[in-house]
Amino acid sequence: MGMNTAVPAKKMKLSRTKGSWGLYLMILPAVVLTTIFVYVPMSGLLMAFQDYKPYLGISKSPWVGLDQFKFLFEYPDSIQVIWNTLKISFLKLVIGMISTLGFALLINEVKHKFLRTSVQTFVFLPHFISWVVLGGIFIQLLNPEYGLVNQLLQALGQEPVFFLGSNHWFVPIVLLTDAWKEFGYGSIIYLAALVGINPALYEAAQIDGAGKLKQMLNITLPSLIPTICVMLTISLGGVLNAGFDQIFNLYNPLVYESGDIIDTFVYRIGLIGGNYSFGTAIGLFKSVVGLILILVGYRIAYKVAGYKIF
Amino acid sequence: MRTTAKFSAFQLINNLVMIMLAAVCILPFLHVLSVSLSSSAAVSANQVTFWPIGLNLGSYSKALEDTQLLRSLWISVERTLLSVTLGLLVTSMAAYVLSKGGGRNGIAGYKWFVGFFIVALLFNGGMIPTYLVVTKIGLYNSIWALILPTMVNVFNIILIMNFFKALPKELEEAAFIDGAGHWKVYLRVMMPLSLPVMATVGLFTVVGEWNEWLSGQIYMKPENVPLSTFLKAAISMPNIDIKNAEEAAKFNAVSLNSAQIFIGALPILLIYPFLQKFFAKGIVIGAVKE
Repeated sequence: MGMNTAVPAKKMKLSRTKGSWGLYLMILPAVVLTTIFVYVPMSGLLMAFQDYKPYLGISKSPWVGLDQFKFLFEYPDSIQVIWNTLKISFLKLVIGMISTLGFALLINEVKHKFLRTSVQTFVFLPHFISWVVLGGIFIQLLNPEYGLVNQLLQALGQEPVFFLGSNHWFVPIVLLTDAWKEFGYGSIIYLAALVGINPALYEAAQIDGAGKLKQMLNITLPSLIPTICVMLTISLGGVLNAGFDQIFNLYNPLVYESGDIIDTFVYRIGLIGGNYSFGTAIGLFKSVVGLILILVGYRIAYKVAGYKIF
Repeated sequence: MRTTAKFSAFQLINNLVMIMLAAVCILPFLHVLSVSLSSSAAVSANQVTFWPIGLNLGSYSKALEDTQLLRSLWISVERTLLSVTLGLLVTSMAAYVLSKGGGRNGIAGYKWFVGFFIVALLFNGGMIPTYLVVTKIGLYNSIWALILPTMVNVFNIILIMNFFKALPKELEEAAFIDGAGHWKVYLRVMMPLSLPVMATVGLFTVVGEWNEWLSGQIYMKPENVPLSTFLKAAISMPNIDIKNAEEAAKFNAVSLNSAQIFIGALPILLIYPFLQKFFAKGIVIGAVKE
């Protein structure tokens, strides 16, 4: 997005094309909506430095400086929540990367076209289904009394497990179901990068007697490294997003200890509990950290792979 | 040849692994569908795996008897249609303006506008301030609370703008020479040429709007929630009244819940074949939505 350099400077001073007022009219709705729903709420971030009372509003509520933040870092629950968030999102990143990349490499080796497209049709589907629906499905599958998974365990002579009610099992289930939902669709970006690999490399390797597996590890994987770097650095910005939708649709009070993350905490304690200032302070902390990480991530992605979104 | 044998062994195993993965992705859906279509005796006895036993549509007719489900279904349809049409209009108009840049054909303050949208992309007030704004301006319990706050998606603006920029310049220049203004060029030249990108953005918006449930939960009264929010409540607190023995034989709480879940997913399953055509383009949107 830059000035049209082909137009000489002198010409630029001439009047704009007929009806350019129309352009302002066209961009107006987007500007108005963004102002109301993004910029006005940003000013509401001031609440994080107040003890906000709904009946007093932002203008009259008392200012408390950094008290909310102090509370945030001293309150054992919020420290647990920040730790849960970092842990879940880091593990999701690692497991997601491995499963997605592994699937991309393997599906790439399927030469039978019908099989390939059929498999893709099935594995892409979960990406488009909401966590409300998937939550309903997994709650059923994992139910200790009638869930299919526990029936299987019992058939194998094991005791049934209340997976979604156990702090030991909740996080692994979150990680597993997230990987299950996204490994297929996430592979698209790698498959797109694979198209660009020079076939001569494979031919040369074949002549040298390298098997499929060797070709995969020595040609395919290395050519994906720029894409992997870009994906990793972009995910940096989301490190405090551990997946509100998923966790909210799977969790229950039994697993708050292991599964409560920043966003679910803000929703429950801040919004539903009416602690607006405290909730906003946590939200602000999260946004600022997220913003810094996004900017750092994009900078690295640009340096490493020349990736630019704007 | 040794290598050929090696190839086929690898390929055979690989193909089998792929088929297993496909099964793993589809079996949970198949199980819930089977449960929803089975008799309550079979469901209670845990007999149902991936095929209905005692096939009947009792759970579905019970689920669809619920006027709240039908009402929520209609609210979801309304919300999705309004969001897609208005969203496409507003974002494509903004994209058209930004695609003109700051030159003679563009607008003054172009860089200011770009900055305005990029800051909005990178930073926001978060859940609570946004909630307070939406309720303060009188949108509580209005369908517009589900539509307006997320209508302008900056990534979609960027996507459509890049598409506009890539179109051949000659077409619009010819129109400008013929005396057409910006509105006419936008409506008569750019829009007809942009069906692929509009379809992509439109379809992904449909999925996003249909699946979104949180704003229904915080902004709407229970009788006005969209289907996704209704479903969320039905899953956490199953509400079932069985009137007679005939009904009791056809469904129970689990099969009814399964039917509700499947009804909630059905529209997405129906548009899925269309979505597939746009996977490659959609990744741009999908990847940034997270």
